[in-house]
Amino acid sequence: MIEFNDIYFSRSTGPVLEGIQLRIKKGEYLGIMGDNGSGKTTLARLMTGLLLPEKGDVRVNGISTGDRNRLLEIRHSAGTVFQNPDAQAIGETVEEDLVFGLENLGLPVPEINKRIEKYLDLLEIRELRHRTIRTLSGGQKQLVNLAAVMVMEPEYIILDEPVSMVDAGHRRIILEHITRLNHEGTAIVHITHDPDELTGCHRLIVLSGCRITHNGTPPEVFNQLFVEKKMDVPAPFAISRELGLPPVLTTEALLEEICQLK
Amino acid sequence: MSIEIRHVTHIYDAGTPHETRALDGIDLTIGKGTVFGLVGGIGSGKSTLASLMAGLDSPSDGSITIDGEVPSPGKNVGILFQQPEDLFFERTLFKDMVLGLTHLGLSEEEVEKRIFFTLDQVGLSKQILSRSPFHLNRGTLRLAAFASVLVMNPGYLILDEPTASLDPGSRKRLVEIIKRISEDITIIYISHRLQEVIEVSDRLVVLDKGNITFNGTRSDYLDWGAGQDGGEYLPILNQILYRLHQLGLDVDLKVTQREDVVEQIRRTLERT
Ligand SMILES: Nc1ncnc2c1ncn2[C@@H]1O[C@H](COP(=O)(O)OP(=O)(O)OP(=O)(O)O)[C@@H](O)[C@H]1O
Ligand SMILES: Nc1ncnc2c1ncn2[C@@H]1O[C@H](COP(=O)(O)OP(=O)(O)OP(=O)(O)O)[C@@H](O)[C@H]1O
Ligand SMILES: [Mg+2]
Ligand SMILES: [Mg+2]
Repeated sequence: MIEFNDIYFSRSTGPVLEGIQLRIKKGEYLGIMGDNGSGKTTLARLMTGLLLPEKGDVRVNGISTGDRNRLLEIRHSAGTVFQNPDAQAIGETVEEDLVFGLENLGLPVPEINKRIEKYLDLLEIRELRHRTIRTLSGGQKQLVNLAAVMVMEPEYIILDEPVSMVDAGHRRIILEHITRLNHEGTAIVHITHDPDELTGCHRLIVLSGCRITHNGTPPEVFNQLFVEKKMDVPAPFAISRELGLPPVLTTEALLEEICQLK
Repeated sequence: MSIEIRHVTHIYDAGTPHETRALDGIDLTIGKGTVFGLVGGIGSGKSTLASLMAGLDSPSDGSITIDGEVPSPGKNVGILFQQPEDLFFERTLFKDMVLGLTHLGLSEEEVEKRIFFTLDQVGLSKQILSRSPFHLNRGTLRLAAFASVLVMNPGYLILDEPTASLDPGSRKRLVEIIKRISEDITIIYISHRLQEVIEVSDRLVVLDKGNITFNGTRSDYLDWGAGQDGGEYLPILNQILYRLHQLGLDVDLKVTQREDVVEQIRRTLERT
């Protein structure tokens, strides 16, 4: 479990997060939305001790992120795909980057190779294996960052806008794979501005004014957001509501509802 | 007055095992006063073409001219990089914004006036000017980068994923700005967000592994996208319309706004 106990965090410009109370259970899929500057990335960085709260404490599987001696344990159980695709890579080439973390886990070479092949295949970026990361395109970097975290097979995966720069085909592959990993037991924290990415999550929270203002299942929260007209909701959800149909989250479900009326 | 791209090929790391043919004999004319949508899969060559048009690199083969001249950085072409931090190097946003403008020989007052006006346009407050670009949250950083390019008043504006990381409010504002300024400025709009590309573009080009696979009007694009398997080149609203059409419902496949899509569905349901 990742726990936030009454967290306060501020910057020179003022408070960023206040009184944050949050529990992310093992195997949960949590979506996070909120306007620019609402503190989403700050929240993500607090989860793995990249930032420390001024008040309250953050715990990962019971270990406080302030416990510097056990930070490595925390970072092994929770991996983050950062919002800036240039901020993450450690290795020079894609392969080196993936090998680095796996060697740290102490895995034998054949196992390392097997994992790298598996994830490069899954994300359909096999041909990038020997490329220099610096020279990759924006979307290619984003995919490599995802692979670098997935290959570690951590208990929690934290995604800060993981598909903001990939094409529709890769977006679908990634979202499907995130859902599959979650079904197999990985907890997912997924930050995004695009509600259509979040139709598979269990719970959705919205940050605003330093606090969690919405917290519920996706249909519950999207319904509130739709009524408040403050934030985007998935296109099929908005269309079903506007047509007076039972609210649905996906295109498939929308088509089904419409066909029943026909 | 236009951008003329003739037989442009661009190869990275030529002669090495990593040789990449990023552009492969591209021919394209971008007429003045259009919004030109540039889409395609990851690594298809969009940012490469952008940097060649901005004069940041020269093509391995072929030629590019803008209003008859070889492009050179800062000269009438503004580019918003896919990585917004690539635009900044000063300690404050103000210094960064001033830097470009002083090259234009403007007075101090004029410089301030233009900066304030542009910030207001994109929805940023003046307070942000004293902050370091590198300490901004990512969406605001991208908006600040957009403002820094816009303030230069370029004749041609290349926007590489301008709305990635923007919240819905900022995204809508940016789309409105683009619609408004495109009467005077030629805009090349690169994005994976097809809904926005469709909304702003007069013409679209699709790149695939360095080749042009589509070049035409917005309406032609919607026809073309419907014919591609999986419909992944269509924005989600048009995907929904197309699927309904396949199910035998009589809907207009060319509307692009959500209200219009809802209206289309409502009408066809009333008829049946
Ligand atoms: N390094 C920093 N120094 C100073 N202030 C910062 C820094 N990083 C973030 N902030 C400020 O903290 C607040 C929250 O930023 P954060 O990056 O968490 O927002 P966000 O919700 O992730 O935004 P976005 O949607 O743009 O990514 C913002 O007001 C931002 O300006
Ligand atoms: N500096 C470079 N050195 C070597 N190869 C490069 C360099 N820049 C880009 N490439 C390669 O050229 C091809 C085209 O890259 P480009 O950045 O133009 O793609 P893109 O269409 O902008 O992709 P994305 O949507 O992911 O941003 C890719 O295969 C990329 O890896
Ligand atoms: Mg952020
Ligand atoms: Mg690019």
